[in-house]
Amino acid sequence: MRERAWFDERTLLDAVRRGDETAAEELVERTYSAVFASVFRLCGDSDLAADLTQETYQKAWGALPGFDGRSQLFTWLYRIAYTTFLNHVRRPRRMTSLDEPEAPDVPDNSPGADEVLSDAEEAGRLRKAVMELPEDLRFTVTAHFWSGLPVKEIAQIENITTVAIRKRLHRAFSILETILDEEVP
Amino acid sequence: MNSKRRAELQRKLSIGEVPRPPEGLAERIKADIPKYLTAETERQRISSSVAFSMRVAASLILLFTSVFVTLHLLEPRGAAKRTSMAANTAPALVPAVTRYAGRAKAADSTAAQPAEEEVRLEIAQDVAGPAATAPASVAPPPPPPPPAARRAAPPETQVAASESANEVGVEGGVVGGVVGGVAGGMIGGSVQEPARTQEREEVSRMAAVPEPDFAPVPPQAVPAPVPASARAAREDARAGTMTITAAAPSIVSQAFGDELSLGQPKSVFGISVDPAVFQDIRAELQNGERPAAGRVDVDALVNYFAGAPARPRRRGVSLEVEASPAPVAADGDRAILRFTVDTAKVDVPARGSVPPVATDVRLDVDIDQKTVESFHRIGGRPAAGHEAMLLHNISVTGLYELSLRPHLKATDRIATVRLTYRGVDDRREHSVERVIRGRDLAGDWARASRRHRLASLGAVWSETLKGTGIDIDIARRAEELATQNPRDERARDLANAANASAGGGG
Repeated sequence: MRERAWFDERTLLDAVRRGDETAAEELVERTYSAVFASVFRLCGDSDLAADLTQETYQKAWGALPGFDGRSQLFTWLYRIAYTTFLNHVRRPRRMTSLDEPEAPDVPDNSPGADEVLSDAEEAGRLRKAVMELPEDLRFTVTAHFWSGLPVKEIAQIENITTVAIRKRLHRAFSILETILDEEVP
Repeated sequence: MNSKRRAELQRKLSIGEVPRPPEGLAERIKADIPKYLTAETERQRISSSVAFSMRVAASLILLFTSVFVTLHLLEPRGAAKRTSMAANTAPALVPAVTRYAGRAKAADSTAAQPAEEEVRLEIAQDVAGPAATAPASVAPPPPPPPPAARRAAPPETQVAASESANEVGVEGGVVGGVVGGVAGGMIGGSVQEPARTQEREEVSRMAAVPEPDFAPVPPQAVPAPVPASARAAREDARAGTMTITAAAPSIVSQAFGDELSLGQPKSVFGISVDPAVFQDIRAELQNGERPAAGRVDVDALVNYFAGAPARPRRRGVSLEVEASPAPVAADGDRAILRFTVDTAKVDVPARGSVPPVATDVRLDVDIDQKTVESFHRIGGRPAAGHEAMLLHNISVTGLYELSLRPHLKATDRIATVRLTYRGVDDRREHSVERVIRGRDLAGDWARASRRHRLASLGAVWSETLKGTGIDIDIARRAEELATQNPRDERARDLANAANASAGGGG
């Protein structure tokens, strides 16, 4: 019976830890699209997101022995990707421009050009507002809304309760609304 | 904040267009996968290395102890004989002299000259160092020639034969052990093994060939015409080196290279991958001729245009699966499914053999009849699902044309392609599976990967070449592909060929 050898995540990780390169490739295949999407939403630039995604995996291979498997694999990868993004933003000469994000690479069957531009502008404003949030709130918002991590997972990696995460989200919404209101002429 | 506004903010945060990852991103990431992924693996590697070193050290200690004990046991008998032996025997070589002196006495106490030759033989062995004698238990030297031949043969010939045999023994033991055990690769074990065997046989021949010529000639009358390779072997041994003689590899390639050579196959999984097919057809088109339909090998042409991956793999085998709407005349229900198997790239010396990367390779393409009304493999013949062995430097592409059922959902499964194989490096069974779903066909053909577009457009062109007429759209699309990337020679080849067949083939 030729059943896929790494049916669940734990088995796959065990195989990667044993040095199985094919398992590592399978891990990449399963996760890289989601990591790329998360990073893209953070930076708004497709090329930069690709570079940061690659950098994320480079760090992940080195950090793999320290991954205890308590959280989901993607949650762990997202944490690395988020840190990688922050490091990139904080680099003096490679600052990501949050003021002029590139329009997303939309497919051909997407809405018209004006509409796309408008959406892109709005997405850019929202992204900029999120980036102005305090660190803990920013991570919570991006992890939950832009990477789809459940509150429970975020609570686990932040080592706080789910109630505290919900409070963070509530506070973040209040701040975001204030920031967005200030921007409107 | 009122709940409506908050909901609106949540909605804005949740939605948002995210483009598909750029082409080749996965390959870029995979290329960064380190060879030794974890500290655990590294520890195992180091511990196995240490264990090997310990075994070698223990063997050496045992050997020296045995020699020392033997010396003490034989000392009273050997001392008397040593005084009657040739005067030029070096004091440092007493153990060897003693041992051979005893043997010579037992065999023929009157034959003083042969005994001296044997002494010289042993000197050379000892000078080669203890490491050269240590693996003798791993790979024993070939059986010695009969006593008569040994006596008749000149000393140099015997020395060369013995040294070569010893060196091959070292190679067999150390290389097999180090490469197989420490580096974690099986190539040293499985691939080099035949070469070592051949070397061993060839060295034996090399040593054996001069013997009939030398037999009638007195050993000291004429200098022995020792082959250059044997001479090099002897000099290496005298210099105390353990390397196999420099001439040995060339001997192997000269003697057995053609028999051993595992060149690139022209067919993999029953799919023709012969690049010469396109060269022939291009030549005909350039001469203004249209190739006969029977000579158009669609598989070979598809594989020519699909080519090798943009970033060659460093290790193992990869499976690439992609689907898109058909490149031309797509009315929404026709799609192209592509699978490509790429093996790692290695540099192979001229006339050398391409090493295997996987064995017991199985490829399964499972097309779901619930979503696909009909299908056929482009190229005609059904692909074979099994290959006993895959070599490095191989890329094989197969295409299916699918006729889809209407009202396809994004999550509907179209096909599953699965590759299983046993890696030569790690001897483990690997399984890679890719699933194509309805959403993978949502985009336009022009958004597919370049390799997919070249392969599928090449397929349509090839099939048209087998029939009558040519769709001018193919030439146009090929021209677009070539213009997008002027450095892509295969795209230019396709554009030129499509233009030639459209213009002159008619």
